[in-house]
Amino acid sequence: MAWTADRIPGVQSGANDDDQNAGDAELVRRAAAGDARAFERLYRANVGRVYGLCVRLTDGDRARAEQYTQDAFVRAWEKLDGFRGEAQFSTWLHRLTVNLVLGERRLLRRWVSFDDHVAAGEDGEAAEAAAFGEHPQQRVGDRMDLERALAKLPRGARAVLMLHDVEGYRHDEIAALTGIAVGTSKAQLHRARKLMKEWLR
Amino acid sequence: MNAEDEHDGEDRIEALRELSLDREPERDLWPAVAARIEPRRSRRHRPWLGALAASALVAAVVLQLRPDAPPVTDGEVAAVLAEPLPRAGQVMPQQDALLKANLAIVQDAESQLRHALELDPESATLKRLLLSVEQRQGDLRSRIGQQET
Repeated sequence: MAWTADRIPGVQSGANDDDQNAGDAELVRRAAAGDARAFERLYRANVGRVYGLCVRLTDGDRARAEQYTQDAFVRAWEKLDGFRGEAQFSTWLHRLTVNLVLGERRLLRRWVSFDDHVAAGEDGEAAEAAAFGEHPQQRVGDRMDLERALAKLPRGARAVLMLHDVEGYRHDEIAALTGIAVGTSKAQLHRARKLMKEWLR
Repeated sequence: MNAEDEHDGEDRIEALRELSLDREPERDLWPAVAARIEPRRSRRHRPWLGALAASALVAAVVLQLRPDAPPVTDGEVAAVLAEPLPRAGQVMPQQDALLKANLAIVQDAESQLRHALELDPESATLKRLLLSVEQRQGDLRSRIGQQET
């Protein structure tokens, strides 16, 4: 599968991106020096991506997504002095947001622990179905669209699927950002893909 | 991407490529963000602002206790900090409340200096000013104690 460069954190693909990076670097420099107008331009350029990420990570809860979006930009402002430019600003901001939503509050760890706890008390296919909140008979012939299928995934599996397959993070990066084990990330991804393929076929 | 992640790629769900990643908030969040970010000048100058504010407060405290005090200027701060407080016998009873109010101001100055030091922990000037403020605070506490006995 060929993934477009703009989906993968830290990867850009053309001259326009270079121009954008140069512009971002100057805005970051000015914002770090206290220029709120420069920071507002960075906000305007990135708020869609950050808010979209927050919506995905909060089960579509727009109020919480708005709060996390604000928190992410405030945190970014506070930490701009520490931004060294090794990565693009958008990549740095994206990781900061993931860490804020899933890492610092250990949300993803709690979610996957809950999934594992539920699954441990069941058997086989029925166990997996129960862990994902559905009756096994519902799985037959139940074709859904993409958004509905994503919404039906358990939160931990959906978060890992989004981070790995959509946002382009590696398992070790997910582990580092959120505090879950690499093996847990892989297991959640496997579960998420398996269920999605059943629901989407 | 490592080998295991490349293997993961074989199972990717094609439909996810069509997923829209960006979503604009339904309202402008910038005013709320702007209200939460503190006005900031360059890191280099910020601690000096805190230090000067704290120094000015301390200078004001000291000079308030002296009825013939001249106007405060930044250049006089260091010298003023080095001056002793009036002796106990020189403080009128009505000045006891003033001493206590000044102690509160000095405590605030100490707080500002500590904040400035968090931003610039290596600043020798800030450390020196903090030491002066702490000494001044001790003097004021001592003087208040003498007034009360």
